[in-house]
Amino acid sequence: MTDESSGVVAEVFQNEYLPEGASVADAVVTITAGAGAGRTVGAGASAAEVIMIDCSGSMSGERLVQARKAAAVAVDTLRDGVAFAVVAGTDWAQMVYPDVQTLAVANDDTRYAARQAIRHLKAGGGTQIGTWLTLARELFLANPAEIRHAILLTDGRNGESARTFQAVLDQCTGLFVCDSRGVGQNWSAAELIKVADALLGTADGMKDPAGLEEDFRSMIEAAMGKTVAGVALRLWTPAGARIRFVKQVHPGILDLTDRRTDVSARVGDYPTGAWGAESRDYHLAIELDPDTVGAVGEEKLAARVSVVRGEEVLAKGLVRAVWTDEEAKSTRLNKRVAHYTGAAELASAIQEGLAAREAGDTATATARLGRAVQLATEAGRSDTVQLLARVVEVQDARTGTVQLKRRSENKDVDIDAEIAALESRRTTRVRTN
Amino acid sequence: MTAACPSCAAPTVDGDHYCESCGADLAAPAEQFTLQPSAGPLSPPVEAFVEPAPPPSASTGEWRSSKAAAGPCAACGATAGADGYCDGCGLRRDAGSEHAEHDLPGVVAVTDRGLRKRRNEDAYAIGVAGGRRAVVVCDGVSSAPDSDAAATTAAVEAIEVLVGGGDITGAYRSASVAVAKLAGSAAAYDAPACTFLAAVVEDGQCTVGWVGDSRAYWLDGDGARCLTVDDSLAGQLTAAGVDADALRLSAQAAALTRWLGADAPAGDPHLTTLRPTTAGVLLLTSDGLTRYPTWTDAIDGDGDAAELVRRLTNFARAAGGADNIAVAAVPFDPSRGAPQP
Repeated sequence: MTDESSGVVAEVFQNEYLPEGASVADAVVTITAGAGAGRTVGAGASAAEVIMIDCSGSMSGERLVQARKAAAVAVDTLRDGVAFAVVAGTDWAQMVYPDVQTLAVANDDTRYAARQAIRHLKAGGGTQIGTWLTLARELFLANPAEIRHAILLTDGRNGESARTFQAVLDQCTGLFVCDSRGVGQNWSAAELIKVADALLGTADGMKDPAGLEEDFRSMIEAAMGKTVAGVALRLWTPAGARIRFVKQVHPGILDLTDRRTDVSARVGDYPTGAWGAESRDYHLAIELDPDTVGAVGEEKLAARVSVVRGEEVLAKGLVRAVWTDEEAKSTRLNKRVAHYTGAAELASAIQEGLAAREAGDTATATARLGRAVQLATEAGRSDTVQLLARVVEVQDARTGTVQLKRRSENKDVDIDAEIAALESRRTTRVRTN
Repeated sequence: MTAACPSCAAPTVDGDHYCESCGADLAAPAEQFTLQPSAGPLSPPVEAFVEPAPPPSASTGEWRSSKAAAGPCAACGATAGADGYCDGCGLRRDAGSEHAEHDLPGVVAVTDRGLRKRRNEDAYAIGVAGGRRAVVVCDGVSSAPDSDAAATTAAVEAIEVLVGGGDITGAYRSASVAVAKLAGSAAAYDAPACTFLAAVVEDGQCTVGWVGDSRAYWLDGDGARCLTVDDSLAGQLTAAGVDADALRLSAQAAALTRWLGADAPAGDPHLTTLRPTTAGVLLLTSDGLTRYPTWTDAIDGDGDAAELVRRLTNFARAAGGADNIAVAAVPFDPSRGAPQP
């Protein structure tokens, strides 16, 4: 169902039939915003962009050369009128362009000046990502732009305590969207995922810095295509229901479960950031009050889903539950739901496996990464299987029998696992029907 | 936006001369819009249907329907949302009643869930206005979602038009517009749908209009005579004189070729007019009764109409109650001008 004038459509994919006594309703909601989404804002929505480049000592050489090129391309891709800044990140954050703490307005002159400034980026010092994000936050706060986007490039692990880092992320949440990128051999997937989850962006990593230029261009192009910010997924759930999770599952996995803002007793909002003409999938799992699950033949609403901007409803959909004693109906899996359930399990198996490996828990690491190999094999994700095969010895991919390889001196191999962790969060969409 | 388009109900903006959605001339009086005939059964130009002018003297007539009564949720006592689900516990509100009976002077109707279906997706509405008696029977298409809402909405919309003095075609169009609004845009090919059967009895004649496979019969001393032709392959063959039963056609042959709903093939209802010269009963029924071929044995010429429809409903339940049942009757006597009580 949709309010056609908004240009946003919500479609619900689910098997609404539950066996007697079951209480969990699973659904994938596909939200598609057309070119005219949120027409009141339109293509001319004010936008601001902050580009954060890691300039720590390890960046020196080819990596910094490529990072400079990528940043220059990013600046060139900004459309006229966008407020922007380039920040160099080390143990602290430093303005590269403009040279005072403010956002410049993109035009031919400022883009040229920014490119000149970027040419002079030098490497030296450590990596304190929180300080970079804090400067970005201050820049955005001083500017009224509606669409706020940042790019964060790092080649190393964050030198800050997890607590400090989390505190900064909490402050930035809701203020701007941030895509983060790891380059080289020493970055951590877990940290980039933290940034992506908190700031509703993408996370990606690569060994070879040569790909940065193209990647930066497409990130800016995507950001420039956003026409409406502050869009939320609003859920009404019946009395006594518990929301197990709310996740964006396409184009990438983002867990929104803990991001709820209560609107009223039964209604809560989950942030989705800024939208252009695009389509995303959200997976909801709602546990209905087990004391009041329906009798066979009864139908209940498990959730009313709407896409809202402020109090304006852009699209609506219903998640239903119908109890049946016909097994053929209740055991049927909805293809989209099953697909994303598998994708999410793969992503978390890799992340948990790597965390266990980091902590020296070989047994857990072996089990989780083995499961990941099995899931990736089943899903036909051969790229992920190949990346995992560099950290585990695969004995039988079908059953997930693996042996953990020793952590190698060759960082090049270790980073493959981090890349796999990020890669597995990107999902494809299955065709339904 | 300031107003809805009189043709398709899409929102319009002040100063617009034409509707952005359907292109209708917004400056023209509503009567100007007419149904565009369509060559094939592809896309239903539901937007092109006329939404008839409000009945000139609605207060003079009255009507009843099988629509479920409004009120707090049976399970938790909370109120229902506009989408038909309880705002407290989420329980679905059925649009129709599990069982309903109504009578007005000279017209009676009964509907029943039957024994096998989960809810009653049949609906009726009956009305009287001056010398006119009107009946609408709709059977929700069970393969489509929210068909109980489709049937109930269609019946209520149509009877309002008929009691207000409109004709059956106008009632059908009005019902189509209302039912099309129930469909979400994502469900363009899986929209709420129902059959449509309506009758108007006045000035010594019975006019019947239909789309789908709910049927009208004329019952008199000679037995039951079917006045309608089902919109299905089997129905068309039977009407052409072929013994469809003998052909052992697949179940597909009974599939509806026309229905009422957002994704329905375009067109107006079939119409037939009867000027009985003998006394009898005009019977309108869903296939919940006529699916049992021996139903005509349950007709008893002696009882009154209310007794007849109840007996037929009980017959269908006793025969298995496989489907929802809706039966309405209008007794008719050409020798008497006034409605038969």
